[in-house]
Amino acid sequence: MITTVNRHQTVPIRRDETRPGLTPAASGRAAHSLVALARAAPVPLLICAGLPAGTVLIALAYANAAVAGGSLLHFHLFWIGVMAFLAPVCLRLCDSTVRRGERLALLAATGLFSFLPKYLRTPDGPLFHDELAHWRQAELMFSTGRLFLPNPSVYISQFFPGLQTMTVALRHLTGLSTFQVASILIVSTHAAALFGIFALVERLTGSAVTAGIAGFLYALNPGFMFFDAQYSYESIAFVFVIWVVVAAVNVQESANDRPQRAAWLRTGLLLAAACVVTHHLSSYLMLGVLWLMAAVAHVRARRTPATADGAAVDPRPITRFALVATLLAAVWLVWVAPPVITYLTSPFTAALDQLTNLLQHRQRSRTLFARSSTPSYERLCAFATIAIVGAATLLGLALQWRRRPRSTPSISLTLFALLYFASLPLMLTGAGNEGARRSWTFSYIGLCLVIAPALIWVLQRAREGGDRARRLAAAAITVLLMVVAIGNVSMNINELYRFPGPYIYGSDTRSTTAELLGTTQWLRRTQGTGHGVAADRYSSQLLASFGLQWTPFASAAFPIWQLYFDPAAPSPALLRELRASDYRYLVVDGRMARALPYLGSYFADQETWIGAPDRPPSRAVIDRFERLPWAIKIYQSDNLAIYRLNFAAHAPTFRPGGRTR
Amino acid sequence: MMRRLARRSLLDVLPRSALAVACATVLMTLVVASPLDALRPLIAPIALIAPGYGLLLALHGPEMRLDGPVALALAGMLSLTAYALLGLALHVLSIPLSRASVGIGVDLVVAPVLVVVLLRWRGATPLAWPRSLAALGVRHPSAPIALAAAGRSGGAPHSWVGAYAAAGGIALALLLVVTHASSKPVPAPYSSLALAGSWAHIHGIVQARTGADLAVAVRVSNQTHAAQRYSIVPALDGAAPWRTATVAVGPDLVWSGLVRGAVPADGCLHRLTIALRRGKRAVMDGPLVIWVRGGGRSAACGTAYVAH
Repeated sequence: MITTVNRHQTVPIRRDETRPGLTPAASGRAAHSLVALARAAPVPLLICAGLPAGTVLIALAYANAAVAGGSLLHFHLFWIGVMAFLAPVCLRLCDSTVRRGERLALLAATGLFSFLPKYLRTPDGPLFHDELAHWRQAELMFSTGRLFLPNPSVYISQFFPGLQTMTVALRHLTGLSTFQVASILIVSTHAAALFGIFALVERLTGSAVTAGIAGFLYALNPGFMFFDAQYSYESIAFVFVIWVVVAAVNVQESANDRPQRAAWLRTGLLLAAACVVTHHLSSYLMLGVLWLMAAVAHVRARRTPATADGAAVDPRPITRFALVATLLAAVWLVWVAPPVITYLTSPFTAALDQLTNLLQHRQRSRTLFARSSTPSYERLCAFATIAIVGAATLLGLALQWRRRPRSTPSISLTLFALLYFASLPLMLTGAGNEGARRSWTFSYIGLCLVIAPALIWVLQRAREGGDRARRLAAAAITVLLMVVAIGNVSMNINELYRFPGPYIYGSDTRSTTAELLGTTQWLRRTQGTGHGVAADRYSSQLLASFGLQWTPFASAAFPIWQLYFDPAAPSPALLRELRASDYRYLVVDGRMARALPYLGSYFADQETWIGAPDRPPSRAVIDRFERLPWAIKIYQSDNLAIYRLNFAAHAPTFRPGGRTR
Repeated sequence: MMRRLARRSLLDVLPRSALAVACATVLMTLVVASPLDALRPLIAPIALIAPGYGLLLALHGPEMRLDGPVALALAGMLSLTAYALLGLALHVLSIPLSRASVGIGVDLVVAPVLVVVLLRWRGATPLAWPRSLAALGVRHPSAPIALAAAGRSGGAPHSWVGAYAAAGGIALALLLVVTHASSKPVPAPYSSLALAGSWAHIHGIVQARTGADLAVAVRVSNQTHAAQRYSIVPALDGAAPWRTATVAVGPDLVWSGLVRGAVPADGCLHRLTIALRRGKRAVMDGPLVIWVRGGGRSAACGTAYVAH
């Protein structure tokens, strides 16, 4: 029997042939249009696919790292996930035909995407050393309503309450928890930072293409994905710095527009005030940029009284801006935060001393990537990054040199960018490497302005060689920037901070266990908060934050390690300090007698104990509290013990009795 | 002035954005003041943008030359500035940060800001907000290359912003699925033994009563993810053995009870240890330790315990 198919008759479709619900003609049209779309715009489609794919891959990397130790699979999954999104975004930003709005959307997406790894590292609460300290500060501020409360972990943070004030205000308004508000703050300021770079570079170059690439480049800076994604005062303050620089550039560039200049001056000063009350180092680097701009403006005003188009360089507005901002910072420093001088100068002078010793061959340099557990390609990328950034900066400088007329802010920010290269030798010193890494968040503001035009110049030259050459150039730039992305993360932060994994004694992030958390909660629940609790550095982190206890800041002036490691009685000075500071509890981690800490010290770098330094203190010394009548052990878990200290029983006249076992 | 303003509609003297800020702030105040706490998280975007946007309008006036996304980012930073400075102002006035003080404080920031906006806009013709700097004719003395003009206008016919937003939504949904579906590491198991009740607060040496048993309250917590049978083994130096208690504790559960025994009436200092065992194996690094002085007259006591 022959069946003729009527024109209106529905023809059954095999489900494996096409999507359900579509007729062959419709599915054909859809497939055709999809293919046509993919041919016409492959990169946007790659971005649309890469965003969810990258997210899933990064989430899988974290899930894998949490359960499987020893393998490097999580690194590979992580970077494939990151590249799945960042690479097409970079390609798209290299395309000069893309609209400005789309560039901003891509930067916003990049900002949000950059927060993902830190979020997945610790989705339930704070974990990093600094963020635990700031979290505690915000919790206490919320419960007491008071500012300037002392902090045992990062003591200087009490003088800079900006971050916590913002958090607590938003907590009161929204009813969210501190950690939820913190996540919202960080993720939104991540996007705001990239928009700030975009606004800055667009103002100076007049090009949204250059601005888009500059914003993307800034998202690759070493701290952006992890260190500046934690809940910490610097994570907010550097965004203020970016916007203050935007305001300063607009003040400087609006020479013939007084209302604009006044508006940006007021805006910049408000932002500068917020920066001053939020973070010390950021505010001083901000002042550095402002004074650099003022100095360059003064020099140019003297050397070139009038620019090519007849407008004179007027250094007065930017000088006024720098002056008022300095006044704000000085008032804060003198009246509120005098200890910050010692806090900042001591590591700086120590770093300079070490650098001098290195140059005079009196000291060996710090080994880069010592004990690094990262894959070798990450370390290679780290070294390659410096070469790539160096080469791109040279090209950018050459282009700036040729360009006429040069703007004052461009010159100033270019000079500021050179801070990156000046900081590199400090990476070889123990005291200076952290400061160097932190400075890159700021020096990248200038680097973006230097490198982005260089990359655009390469694209422009390639375009002259035809479409194929342009595509090749865009692909090469993308590859280089992906190397920079890997290298920067690798040189800024170690695996223990980046990924979850098995317990490691004496590390900041992998020492946190359910047992320590349970012990902290027991102490808080049964004994209350605000007690002086002597503990090692790693137990202190949780006791001070989640436990809201007062833990010691070990130093040569307060050598709390003597209490643990010295088999003799604590020195009278230490005892006096313990009594005066009302230390009522002592937490002892039994693992002290079994393992050396990953970070090298149990309490502080100056600590010592009897015995070989490459072996932990003896068990007998750690356990001796069990036989001292002035210590009552009120809690014991597998590894952790809590003693209540009874100093009254420590009187020299105390004559105990009984027998030992 | 007010009469003159009243003659004109509000839209004539205030930009729509300022009205939006005013409405958003009123809405935020109502939600913060209301007892419906579930609604409060929804105002987070308003709390992040509205005060800063008001400040931005007041600072820049009708000549503001910032377009949507960049202005929103700056508004966000100005909102945070407002919160930081508001907190300091409240501190100077000795007013603690609270829901009421912050809520009223934000209103007190936004209200004068809107008055400034009103005054600045009075008589001025608000500019249509430009989509780009080029539309303003902003001079770019340092524009380095010819490519600068590209990308500001024209360009690709399709805007992919909507597609990116959809992809972001899918990514978020997938993230939730993957993080919930992926196996999480089981927390390392542990057990704990602690003094319980008023015993958790003992400050010094316990004075035992003559002729009466001493009963110490303890608490055992089983965080081993499996049911356990524990032995609680008390021992007092220089005294008859105390009875060992055996307890079964389910996974992630807690047992509380008393261990009791006699203390010699010798007036001497004794060390009471309470250990936790599983089978014959000690579970933990060491026992709990309490110092007890026997009742009665002081006999000739040993001197094994030292103060240090």
